[in-house]
Amino acid sequence: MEKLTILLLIFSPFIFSLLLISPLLSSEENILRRYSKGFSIFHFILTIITILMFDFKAPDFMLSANFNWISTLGINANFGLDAISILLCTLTSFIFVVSIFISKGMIKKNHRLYYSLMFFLQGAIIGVFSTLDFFLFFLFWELELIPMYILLLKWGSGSKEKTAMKFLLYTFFGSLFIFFAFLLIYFLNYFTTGIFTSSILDVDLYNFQDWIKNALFILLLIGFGVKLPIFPLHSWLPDAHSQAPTPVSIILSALLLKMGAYGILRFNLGLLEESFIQYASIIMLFGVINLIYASICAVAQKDIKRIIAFSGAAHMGIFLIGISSLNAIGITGSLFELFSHALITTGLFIIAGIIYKNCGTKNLNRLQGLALRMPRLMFLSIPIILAAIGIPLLSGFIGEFLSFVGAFTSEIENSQYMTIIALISIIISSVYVLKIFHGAFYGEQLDKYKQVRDININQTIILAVIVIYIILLGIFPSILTDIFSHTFNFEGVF
Amino acid sequence: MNILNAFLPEIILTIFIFANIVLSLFINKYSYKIAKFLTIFAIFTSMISLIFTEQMAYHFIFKTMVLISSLLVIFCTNYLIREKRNRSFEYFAIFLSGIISSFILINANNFLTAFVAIELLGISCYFLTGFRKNHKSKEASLKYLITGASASAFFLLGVSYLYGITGNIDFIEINRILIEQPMNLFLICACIPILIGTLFKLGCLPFINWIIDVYDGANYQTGLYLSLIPKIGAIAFINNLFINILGSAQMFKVITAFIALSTIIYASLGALKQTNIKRIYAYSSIIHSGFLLLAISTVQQYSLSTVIFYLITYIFMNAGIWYVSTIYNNDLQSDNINDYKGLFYKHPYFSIAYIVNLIALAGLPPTSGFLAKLYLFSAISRSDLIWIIILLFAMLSTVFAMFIYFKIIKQLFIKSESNIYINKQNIQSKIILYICTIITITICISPDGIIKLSQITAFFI
Repeated sequence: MEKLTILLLIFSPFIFSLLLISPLLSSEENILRRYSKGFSIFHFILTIITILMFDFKAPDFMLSANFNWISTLGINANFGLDAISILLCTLTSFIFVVSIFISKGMIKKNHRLYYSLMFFLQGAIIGVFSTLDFFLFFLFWELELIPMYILLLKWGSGSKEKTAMKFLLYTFFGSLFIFFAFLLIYFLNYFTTGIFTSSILDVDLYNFQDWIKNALFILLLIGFGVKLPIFPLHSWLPDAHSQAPTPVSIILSALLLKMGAYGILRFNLGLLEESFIQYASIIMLFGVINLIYASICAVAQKDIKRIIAFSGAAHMGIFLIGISSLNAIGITGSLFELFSHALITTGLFIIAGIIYKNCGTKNLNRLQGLALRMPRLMFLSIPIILAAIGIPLLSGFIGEFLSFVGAFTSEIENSQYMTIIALISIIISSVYVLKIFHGAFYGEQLDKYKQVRDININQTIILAVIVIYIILLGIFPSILTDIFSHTFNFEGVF
Repeated sequence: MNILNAFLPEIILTIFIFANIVLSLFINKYSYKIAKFLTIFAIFTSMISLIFTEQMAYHFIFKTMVLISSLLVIFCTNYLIREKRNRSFEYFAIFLSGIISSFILINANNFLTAFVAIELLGISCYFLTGFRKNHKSKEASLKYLITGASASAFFLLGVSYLYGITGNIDFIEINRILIEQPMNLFLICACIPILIGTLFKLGCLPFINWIIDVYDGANYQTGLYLSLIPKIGAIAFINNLFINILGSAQMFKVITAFIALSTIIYASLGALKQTNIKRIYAYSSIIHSGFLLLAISTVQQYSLSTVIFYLITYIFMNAGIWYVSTIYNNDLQSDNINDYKGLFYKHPYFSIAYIVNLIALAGLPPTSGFLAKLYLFSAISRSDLIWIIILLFAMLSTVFAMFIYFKIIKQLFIKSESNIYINKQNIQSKIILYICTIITITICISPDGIIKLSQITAFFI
């Protein structure tokens, strides 16, 4: 039963994707969309059932399933979920439900290929979150590139070809470092223990020399840092986010960034803990730089989607600060930040996408006074905007607050100073987020936007669901934080 | 009967070469169909005879690879001979002689045999390149001839030096003498020309530029032939050479590794600006040769098994891309990648097959290319520290290779007004293309059998 659940969870999107691209289904837009919506909801229900089956207090990986893949080399298809991965899988499934529902009207051509690629992407992302094998992890990590490339290339706007290639090459460049580190771990483990294995659970890095561990740590950090993105490796992010179609922007920001974060959690923190302690202050410094730099960049942008993209990089800075504090509060905060940012950025991208679709522009200089034309959108965007700033009682506040508190009370060198510098970003974030709200909704109504229609019932429901989640997590953060405090054994760190 | 037991496949192929030549004197009608049937029959019979003769596992698997790839080439020749149908007997005779020389090269345990095989292989390739008989093809053929001749001269120079040192041309004898002897300057002078001469056949650095012009000048079928059959033979021979002679010195391993690395970087950078599809394929084949050479240069049993696995996967993915271009450019005279614009909207499944094969060459999942790279890199990273550093650079240069393959994929999705469509009659070639694609994906899902096979082969060398 467990095996079946996890197999369905990972491979049903792939199978559905193949079904969509095959000539079995009719190519009519409505029918395809109906099937896709149905499947995404089915998958979401499946993850909910998995969560209900799940025992969050268990220390080990639950729901594991093993299959032979390349057994001669000790590389096997091991799947397993712990609390963080099951929550990230649920998040993935939820975000995909949202982006499939929001696709109507935003995607105008080649529906068959589009939905097929979307579910292929979903399978790859779920695969990343649920494997326990280095090489299988890497397989899923790379698998996500191809559908993403075609989605950016085909449905993007602006200089989409260049952007898609940039995204591809950057990410591939990063993943090579990951692959290299995995190969080294695989063989060094063989040389020290004499067993060919690439399972995360079986690999024993205890006997490795310190410099090797540090080298592995840096390689992995570069690899995941491209995806996260960490400051010097970030330049694919604003282009890709702003030129992708809205559903793809949502996935990029809400899920692909989380893949980098998950990699850092699972490998850099989980596997190479000692090196992480050694480099924690540097990572925190990178987090602060990321936060301040991305926030300042966001202020300077005119394009709504670019602002949101940079805000994503800034939030990942908060994640880095929280995780490098290495105490219970900080890590809980940073994990919470992942989920709250996913919800907030989804909401913001939907707002931006609707404005872009209905008004034909996403440039803030040309937008003005939409509040009269779009009262429902404005009403629903208020909580999302406030959550992005980090107002209490909304989910954005909890993640930021816990991360900063964790960093301030941390024993890492100079963490207090860095936290104080990082706090400046709270002011900057309110500047750029309110800029979107102010620029788009306030001001005099322009003639050219007289015909603009408000959001339809479909979009209203989607936004309302997101708002409910944001408020729910803001008022009852213990839903998630209780789970997180069981996952990592914090006493071992400090 | 002893000779029959060892050489039955080669003898069968030789008989069919003569049959092809003799029949060309008498038959005018349906010559293409008869010649093709004869050749396929020859390949099948030699494949069966391979099983019944006593072969080393190593020879057996390489010969099987040659035969399978030659079958793949034959099935896309029906475009080639359209204008020159009456000369198809000639074509297939040369074709078969190339296969034989590949066989001899795989078997070669002696420099004399090796030289004969290399020359014979070279001559058949020169003929096939010039078969199109237009200006470009003639130029390519001549270029190939001259470069090949100078590479052979290098090879002979090295062999004669080596004979001067050891007094022998047999691999095993030389190996026995070299083990006792420390590496000296004279030996280096002998081995480097041999290395250069053999690397020519593989298409690695010192002689590299011929490969691009030759692929450009030749037609697609010959391109596929050149990228498979000489390469498999050359890999088997170079591997033999490393195990017996060159591998005994650490210096040669390092030199070869650096040659391989610079080949990879050179080809990856060279392909960036290309817009001709054949030239891109040529560079891609050079990149893959570079990776194979890098694995061979570590001289381990484990790396040999990875080389065999890589070659098996490479046959199918490489055949895939050449098939696509053959089918698509059948009626087209230009080879520009702009012709591929909007292919996806016209022929979606055909393009998906193309994308899968390109992705496999780039080394991305879910294709066999990903596993082949994983396995090959694992062999290289198992070696000394210097190989690990070289591997890092080689891997980083695959970013450029990635750019090349995705440059083609990008074209498929760009809308265009062109009205080039695939000829509806090419069902046979299309089926082969889809089979190649399915094999490429299946190997990724269950690679265990082939990996075991290649490990057993490497164990028994």
